[in-house]
Amino acid sequence: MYCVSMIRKELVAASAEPLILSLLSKGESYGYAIIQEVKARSGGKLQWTDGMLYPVLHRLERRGLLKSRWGESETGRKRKYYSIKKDGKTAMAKHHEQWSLIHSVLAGLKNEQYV
Amino acid sequence: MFNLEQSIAEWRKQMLAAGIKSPVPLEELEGHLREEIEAQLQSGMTEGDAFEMAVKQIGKAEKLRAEFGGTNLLDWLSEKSKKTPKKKYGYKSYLKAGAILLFVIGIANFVVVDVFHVHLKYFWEGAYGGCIYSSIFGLIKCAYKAKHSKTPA
Repeated sequence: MYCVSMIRKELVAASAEPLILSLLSKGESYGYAIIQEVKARSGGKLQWTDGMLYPVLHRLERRGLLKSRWGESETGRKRKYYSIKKDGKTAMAKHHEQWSLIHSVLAGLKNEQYV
Repeated sequence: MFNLEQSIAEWRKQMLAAGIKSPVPLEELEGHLREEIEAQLQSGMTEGDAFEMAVKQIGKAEKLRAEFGGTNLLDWLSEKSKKTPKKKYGYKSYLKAGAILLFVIGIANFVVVDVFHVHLKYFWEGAYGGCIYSSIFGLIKCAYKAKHSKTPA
């Protein structure tokens, strides 16, 4: 996934799965809405090249973490909705654990630098 | 005069040409493109600018194709077959194979006739003989083709 902000693309790619799983744990959603929510929550600093989201969604679906269904938008256009499955919630919990660990290590090191 | 539907149809063609053939991703991508265009139109952009912006935001067809590559098994297989072309053997390989085959036939003949004293009257005329003749003929044919082929072995 390509990012146009200053966040490195490797980090953007690594964070895509936990972000998608976390967003979908709040309820089903679709590609465009997922991208808009990520953009809004990151204050525009985390921007994906939109088309790259779909291969990630498809991969997660193939791995049994998500399921999808075709529905309709308010204007009657076809729209594919994604929702999280039980295994997806387990994977999300693991992601949270790992990212929290990385965050705590970084925060600890940062605090030590300023002591 | 800018025609939005025509431009979207052109964009679809580009995606198809780039290899995004599976209908599901293309339908999804087009839906996304239209949502982005609508959002840009609501913010006051012209149709042409909104379309350009949405196309840019979705990404280039080649990059998308690379990302989607792993999702379409048939495409993945065709990619693989392009990357690993059939190995070509030189004529010497066929000659070696022929020599080995003749050696094996000689040993088999010796074992059957001289060790077990079994005389196969129609050995060379039977089905077994036919297989051996056709194998030798096939190897000679392959060796000839390999030697006179334009592509180097």
